Amino acid sequence: MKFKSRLKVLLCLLVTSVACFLPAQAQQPVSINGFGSVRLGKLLPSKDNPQLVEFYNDDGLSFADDTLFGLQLQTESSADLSYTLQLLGKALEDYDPDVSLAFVRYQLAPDHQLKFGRLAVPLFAQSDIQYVGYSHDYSRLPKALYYRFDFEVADGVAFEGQQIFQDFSLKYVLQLTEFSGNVFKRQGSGGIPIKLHQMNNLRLELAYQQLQLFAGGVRADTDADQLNAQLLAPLLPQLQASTASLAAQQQFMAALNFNKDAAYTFWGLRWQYQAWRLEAERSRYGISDSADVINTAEYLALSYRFDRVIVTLHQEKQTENPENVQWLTQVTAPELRQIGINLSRSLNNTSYRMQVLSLRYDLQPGIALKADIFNGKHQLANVGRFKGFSLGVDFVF
Amino acid sequence: MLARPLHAADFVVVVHNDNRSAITQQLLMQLYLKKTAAFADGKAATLLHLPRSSAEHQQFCLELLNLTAHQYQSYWSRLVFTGNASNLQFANANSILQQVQQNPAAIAYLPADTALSGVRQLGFLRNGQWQESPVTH
Repeated sequence: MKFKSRLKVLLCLLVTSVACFLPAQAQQPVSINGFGSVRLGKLLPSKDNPQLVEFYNDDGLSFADDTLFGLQLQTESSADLSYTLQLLGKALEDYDPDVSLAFVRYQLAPDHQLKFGRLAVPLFAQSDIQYVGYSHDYSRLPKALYYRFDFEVADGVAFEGQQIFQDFSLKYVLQLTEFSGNVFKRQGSGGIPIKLHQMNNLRLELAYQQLQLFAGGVRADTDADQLNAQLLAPLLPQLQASTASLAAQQQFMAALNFNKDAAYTFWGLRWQYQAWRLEAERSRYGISDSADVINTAEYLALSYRFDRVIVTLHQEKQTENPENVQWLTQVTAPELRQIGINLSRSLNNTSYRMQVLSLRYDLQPGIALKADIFNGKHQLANVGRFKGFSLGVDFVF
Repeated sequence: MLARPLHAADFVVVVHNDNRSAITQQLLMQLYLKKTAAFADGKAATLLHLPRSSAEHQQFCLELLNLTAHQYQSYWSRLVFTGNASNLQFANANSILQQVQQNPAAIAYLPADTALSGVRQLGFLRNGQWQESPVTH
């Protein structure tokens, strides 16, 4: 274990130990909660493995992809002020704990609060609980949307509130955050550093009886010089070898540049009728006017509850069309367009659909057993159809 | 297997004697789902529950929220692990009565045949239907 990891583990132990002894000393006790998932699964590709993020990319049974543990400490220093620290350790990262939440909450009124610190970014409707497997009925939240982004937590401030209007309830979350960290970490070499400045986040949920509509979005200024250096700079020899003018080459590089606005939007609904439940979400995201394509992802899920057993069937779909890039409208030289398209095809090639049948059995309070089987098709010819299964347990305490 | 049992139980919902708020079934549901954390007068509410494994708690979750007790805990875990709620508070009927007598923010449900004293009865939940008690001054 590296020195930095050891330091993190020691820090976690220290924080937990202090928290355990605090109740005797402090007026307000520290509440300790935890969650976790232990799951084994296997993907059975007909050809190549689709290499979806943290989705059984290796041969054989995998225990690591979905297995994780979280620990949360919460305390209040007054009726209005509370502190939350949440640590998350994933098996894939050798349980090296990350600070997934760390914020101070100031209660302005019973239904309005401010949070300062490290917050979950509402990229999608359930981003803030995506690692708490017990909190939903799926074996894992639909992978097409919830495939675990590197910038799913960021530092900043949030205003959260909820209002009742007769039989309607409205919940809203407004955030202003900044992210600085590495992306594409799972592609090896520790990832590529980027910064997301002025991330303006909004999430809305409107509920009426058993119907809930939700929508939201994130917009940020991307500072991705390293991304440009690693992905776009290698194109320079091809550009210089082309017959395009220097001005056209410069315009081409400017058009593909990643230092642009990143935007994420989502919307959907949940509806419960007796033992039936319907859930759907759709998202659209990307770095606009750059080499990044506009991604779309969606799922539709139908569940039925038999007391302790919940059966859910869902279809999910992710689409990255390498030719759905806005820079094509700015670049006219055929040679440059082909260079750009080739790059886009190598970067943006995750398009698939998958059907998943999930089973949840509530064994006892706080413990749910889950199983699923899935069947999908990837657009890449060398991947094609794939199927698989997983078995596991989700818990909270 | 049926999602809702054949014989639904009756519950009485109580608050502190000083709490003069009226409540509708929708607001009761919104409170127990923490879609609002306040009574109609804007004052904060503290929810109390009968023991987690009790038949009464399971029945109340089904009748009011159309959720099993497991689903309710699953739902509540979303609030806890986003730092937006504390753990659910469970207690037996006697302890609940004492807490409601002492805490002006408390709201709780009890079996309808519970002998009440020193608390205000808001209404009854019968077969999933809310019947508000007349306001007494």
